[in-house]
Amino acid sequence: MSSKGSLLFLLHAHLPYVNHPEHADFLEENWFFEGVVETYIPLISVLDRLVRDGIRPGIAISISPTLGAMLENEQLEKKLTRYIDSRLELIEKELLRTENDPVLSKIVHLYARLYEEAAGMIHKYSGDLITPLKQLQHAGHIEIITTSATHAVLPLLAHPEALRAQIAAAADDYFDRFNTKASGFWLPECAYDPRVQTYLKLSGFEYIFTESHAVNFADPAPKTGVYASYRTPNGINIFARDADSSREVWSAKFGYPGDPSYREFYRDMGYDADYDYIKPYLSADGLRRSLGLKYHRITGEVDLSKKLYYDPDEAMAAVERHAADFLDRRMRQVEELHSGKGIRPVIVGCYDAELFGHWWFEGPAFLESVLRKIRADRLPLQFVTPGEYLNSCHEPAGLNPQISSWGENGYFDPWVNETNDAIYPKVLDVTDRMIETANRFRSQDLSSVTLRALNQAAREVLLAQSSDWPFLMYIGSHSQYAAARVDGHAANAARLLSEVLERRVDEKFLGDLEKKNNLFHRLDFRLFASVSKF
Amino acid sequence: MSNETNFILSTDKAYLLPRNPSAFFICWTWSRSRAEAFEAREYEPEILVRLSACEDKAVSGETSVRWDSGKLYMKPPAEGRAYSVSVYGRRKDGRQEKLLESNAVAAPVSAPAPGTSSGYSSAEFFRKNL
Repeated sequence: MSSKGSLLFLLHAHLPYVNHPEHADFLEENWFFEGVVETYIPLISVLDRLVRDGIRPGIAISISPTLGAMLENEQLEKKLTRYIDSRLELIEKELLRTENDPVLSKIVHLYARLYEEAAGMIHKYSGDLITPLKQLQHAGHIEIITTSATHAVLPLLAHPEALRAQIAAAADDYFDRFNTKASGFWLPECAYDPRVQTYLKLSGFEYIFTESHAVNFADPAPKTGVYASYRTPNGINIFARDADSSREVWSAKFGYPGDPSYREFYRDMGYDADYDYIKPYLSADGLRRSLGLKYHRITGEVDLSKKLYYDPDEAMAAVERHAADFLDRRMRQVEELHSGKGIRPVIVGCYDAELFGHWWFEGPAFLESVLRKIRADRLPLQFVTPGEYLNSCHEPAGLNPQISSWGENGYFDPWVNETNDAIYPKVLDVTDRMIETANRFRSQDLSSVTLRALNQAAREVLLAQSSDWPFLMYIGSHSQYAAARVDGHAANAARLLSEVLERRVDEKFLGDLEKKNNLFHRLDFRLFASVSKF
Repeated sequence: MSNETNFILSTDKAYLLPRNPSAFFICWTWSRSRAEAFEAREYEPEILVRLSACEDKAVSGETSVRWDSGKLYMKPPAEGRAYSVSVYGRRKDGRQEKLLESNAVAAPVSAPAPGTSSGYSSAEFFRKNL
């Protein structure tokens, strides 16, 4: 059946760079382990199963350079294996403990399968999860794009040199990781300002994604709204997020993930179980924390202690219902646009990948069900990747998007407010010093140590600019860690730059930083030099 | 002095960042020598922060704050226009001296309740009551 419209799904996979080789066990590294087990591996499995059954997923995935670097980090891989082994040991005990309780035992078996699948995939790919993604892209099943080097909110970078460095470093990083040039660029937090166009073009990117009001409130506003792609004056293609399909999936309150039969995220055996029983599986500090084994369902608006046990069959029935409802709504949307406005729309759904599996446990199953139903029900809808859409659509209309983001209130409030604004003088000052030093040394013959120190200073500046630190401070989660990361990276960069200027680089300090913050292997500090000086 | 902002860094700089259509964030840093000049009362402790439109340089708003407060929020008078900030100090003899000038930033244009209609909820998950 010929399609009346296209669905374009973009899953944005990102975690801040957290690597502490100096510690055997570090709390914030668990973000990565949980992301791998609960989101990245289940998503790869979904894609593999679909391909095996002859269904082409046709979705886009952005993988941030910081996540990519962690997925390739051997020390983190060893810790990840330890994490999975430790959970499997606990699950083994749980299987014994619950063997006479059919309700609980069924849930524990579910976790056994999840962690065994993780262990199996890590073994299969020798710990390198980029490989299966690369294979899927190479075979044309998915499209992988990138985002700014450390997920900086680009409109909050006052210096054009910093914009350029964030974008150019991401382009190089993608090429090194995927052996091909990236076409698409995910604007972190969908944060757009017109300055980004120039630097995206310079780095060879062809398309970006914006929030809906960037397009709907452009002057003049396009008649086709968010249901077509557009082109900026310098030739960057724009896709805008569709609010309806986003809300249905995104919202914990109004969307599918809040269904009473789905797994409850916040009730975890790390808080429920007998302390001595779980102590071997807690961090070295012995504090009760989430262990990832969650036996309850959302139930309704009741206290955590009143939550009922999770029923995997009931949850899967809800997944099927929600997938059917999602497609029914998209069909109605497409019909309305097709017959009412005479357009063949593209409906763009952009989601944080970690929503699928980590926050919304059933999310990967929902995605799989949506993709299978389109085929099974012979719906006149097709999943397209951004590149495919651009190759097949008419010449996009010109448009100047508005300054915007997908954050609360639509602009930059979550990243600049009274809880986190103290970081900006530090970040901007050290960026300024990086630019000044890059301009000074850009055409000099440099000793190996000086070059290494300048390149590491550039890494530290990029890491200080990450959007995650102000966001964590804003939501009051791990805020001390976030503040310390900004202070640490800014101080590291400032020290290295001073040492270069004073010609006394401390090689021990430099070596330790290179080992710890070891991403962007071929980063050249000259990316921070002022463009006009080239 | 504000401990929180750590305003004495390395250079005399002012920065302007967009927060939303009705708020700019402005912050500044001082070099050690300039900070010492303020501490020695070569300048009055109050500085003047002036917002000007880039197009015609018209003064669009100004406010006086302590030199070491390090940051403030100001409302841009018109959405969609570009602005920059200048920071002035006053010498003991009354002369006003321009000390800092920021980058230029365009004020975002309002869209009706964009965040609530677009279904962003990453933070919703984080904020859910435990």
